[in-house]
Amino acid sequence: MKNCDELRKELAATFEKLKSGEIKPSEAAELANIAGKMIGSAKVQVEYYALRKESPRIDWLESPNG
Amino acid sequence: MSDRSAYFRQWYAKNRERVIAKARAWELAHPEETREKKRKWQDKNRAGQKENRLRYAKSEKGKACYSRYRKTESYKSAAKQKRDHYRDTLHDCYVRSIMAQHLGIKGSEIPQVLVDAHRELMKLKRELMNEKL
Repeated sequence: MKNCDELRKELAATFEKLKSGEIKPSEAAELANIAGKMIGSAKVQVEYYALRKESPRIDWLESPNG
Repeated sequence: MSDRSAYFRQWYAKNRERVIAKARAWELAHPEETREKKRKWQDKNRAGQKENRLRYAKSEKGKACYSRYRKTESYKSAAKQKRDHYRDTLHDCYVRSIMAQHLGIKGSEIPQVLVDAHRELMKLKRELMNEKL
């Protein structure tokens, strides 16, 4: 997953697969766990720059459509 | 000029009810035009309206009024309904508030793309919780 947008799409796809029974809940839970850590890390980065009153370009948050 | 405006003021005071009734009758007869007219007025005056509302809310009278209003049962139930709706639909404001809980920044400072990803994560986690139950 190269950026946040891809992560979102992956999460949405996992949600659909879980609902249709294509994957087991344990597999979905693993992805949710990793996604939570990735989002948490990005959140801390955003907080760090906001507190330093800086607004650099964070590549991972850049959407290819944006 | 002042004579003219004084005359008009006097005339309006005398005919106020009739003028209002006539305008109201026109509005009822032309609902589409009325809606359009009101929409245009809202678009034109939105900023001013917001400013007036904020000024009133910050004044002593406004503060007292809003404080009284917030204590009413109807306000409390409406506010709860709104909160529940935001929670159930994973509205932007709800997701942002959850994300900003342990951060030193406001929810509004979090980029939209991150909020969208977190919303999907919350949806997935909710589904996993339902699977467990």
